[in-house]
Amino acid sequence: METGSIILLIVGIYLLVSLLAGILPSLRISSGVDGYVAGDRNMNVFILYFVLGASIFSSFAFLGGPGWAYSRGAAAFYIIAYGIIGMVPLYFFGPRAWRLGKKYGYVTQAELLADRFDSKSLSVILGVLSVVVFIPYLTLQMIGAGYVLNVISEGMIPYWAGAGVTYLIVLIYVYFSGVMGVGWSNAFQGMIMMVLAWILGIYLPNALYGGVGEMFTAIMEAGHTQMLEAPGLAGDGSTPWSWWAFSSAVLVSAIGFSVWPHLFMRSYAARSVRSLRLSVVFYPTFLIFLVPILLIGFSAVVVFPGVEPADSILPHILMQLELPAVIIGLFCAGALAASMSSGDAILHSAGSVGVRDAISPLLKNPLTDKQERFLIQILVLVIGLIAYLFAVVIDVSIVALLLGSYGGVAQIFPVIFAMFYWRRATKAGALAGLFGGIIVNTFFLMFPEFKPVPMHEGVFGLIVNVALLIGVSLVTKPDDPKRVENFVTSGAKGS
Amino acid sequence: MLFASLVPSPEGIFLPSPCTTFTFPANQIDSRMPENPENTSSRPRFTFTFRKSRFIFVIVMMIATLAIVWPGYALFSSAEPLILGFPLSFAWIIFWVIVSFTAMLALYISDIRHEGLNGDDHQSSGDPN
Repeated sequence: METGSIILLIVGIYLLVSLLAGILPSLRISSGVDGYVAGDRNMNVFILYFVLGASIFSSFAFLGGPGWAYSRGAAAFYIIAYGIIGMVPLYFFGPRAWRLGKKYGYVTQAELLADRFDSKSLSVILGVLSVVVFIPYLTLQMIGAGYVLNVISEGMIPYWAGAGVTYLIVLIYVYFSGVMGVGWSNAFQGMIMMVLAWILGIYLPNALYGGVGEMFTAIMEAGHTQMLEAPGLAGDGSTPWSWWAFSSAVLVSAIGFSVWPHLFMRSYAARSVRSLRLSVVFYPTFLIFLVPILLIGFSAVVVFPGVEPADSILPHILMQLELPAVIIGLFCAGALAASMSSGDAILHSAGSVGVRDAISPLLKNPLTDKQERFLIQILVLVIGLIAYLFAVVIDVSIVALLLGSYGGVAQIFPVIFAMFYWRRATKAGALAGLFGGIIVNTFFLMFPEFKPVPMHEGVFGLIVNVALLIGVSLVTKPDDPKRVENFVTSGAKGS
Repeated sequence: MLFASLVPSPEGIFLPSPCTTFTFPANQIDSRMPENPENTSSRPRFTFTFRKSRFIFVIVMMIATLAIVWPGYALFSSAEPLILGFPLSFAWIIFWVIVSFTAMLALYISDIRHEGLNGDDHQSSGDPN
């Protein structure tokens, strides 16, 4: 068989299985919002593990990870480093959110906060913020998918068609199955990615250098020792990155990680507190799969110098090496899996959060369950279409926007923490902290020259955020203790 | 307890028993008593359950945090020696992934034992879950 058709066949089979894995759960979930958004609170450890893991294994990790390792060396370890501590808060927040969700029927993050602080505007702000952050995130996944198919097919599949077909499939299963479709397809896609990452990560250093140790020795002998010294190289690829920048990037990403709305709201989908905790516990095993991904990038440092842009290094290696068609086809499937498994979760959350948090509180008459589910499905289609339009009229600044969004998302952390642990936190304090944090973060994102020290802008936002949250809470009247009690004691069983 | 083997508990340093409930002010109601929702003035202002495993877990994760950013990481940032083929800077980060996984697994096991032994009714209102 011809190389091209083998690749297309493998990709075709992959897409078909993804579609089936995503569609079949729709036969089993209930027809209401609970079924669509929270999977009837019945997700088991296996699925939950892959859903949480897929959030880090996005297009950004699969293409950007090797790109960073290739151009900036040890700076790429940052992607692994923040995951080490980033997931830990979910072990404590998750069960609390789960218990409250079961009791009061919450399915999103903002619903919890809005009830604790008795503020509809808080819900609307968070709803809008989430959707605004999700769209560039989704766009980036689509760009990844279109790009991979385009490069591997040597231009046969146009970029718009690659992204279009891939995301049409995602749209179909997200539309019909909701979060359970996301879960089952992620489990399949996750396994494809893991296997692929290890095959390539071990194969390439061995084929090109004769081993991992030999590869790193060769990098040092070629005069790139500085690249392997933490914290690696700065964005220009020649000067060392500063410890300030590395440390603050790790901390802000770690703080933001557990409160990403699409990740946080998976807590509600868990079958039990135990299964939720166990999938958080096993999350670091997913981080280990980033190791071969980075090895792929390092393997190109000596052999293929000067590839631009650095993010294209993975497809570049594959095209240069004359690998068997089956491997290239599988790689294609792996890269698509990385893109789709993050994209579907974001698409689903954007629709759910948009309707539940931003639109519903503004309506005079409450929606019925059926209406609400239908509205979410419509919004999923609309957001998918908007992101696709962005992806086709490609704009480079989207990448910067995504990296900046981590600082914004991290601003949610203090209010979540206060919701569960601090009785004295008030509505005014929460709103002031969140607003202040987002404004300061956005200011330093847009005008980095004003930063007093070269740290991630999220750090400045967080300092202002926490100060305002504490200060304003203490000078305002305490919130109704009966309401607050529910949230603070949510750590205990049965409460 | 799984942690006991990892971290020695030195004599003379106060480490509370695996599960101790503190209330402040201390002369107020026992937090394990059924609370009267009408009378909030009788509620202790400050109550939390101290669990040794959770305390140790928080300490381990704080050390992990310092280890993967400055200053901890700066001490282990060089490329050499190669450890199992990986530069020291890379091996260091992988090591902490393993530590974090072990710590979370131990916490999980300890939580299951704790909840399994004491059952639902023992859970006081301020368990810092």
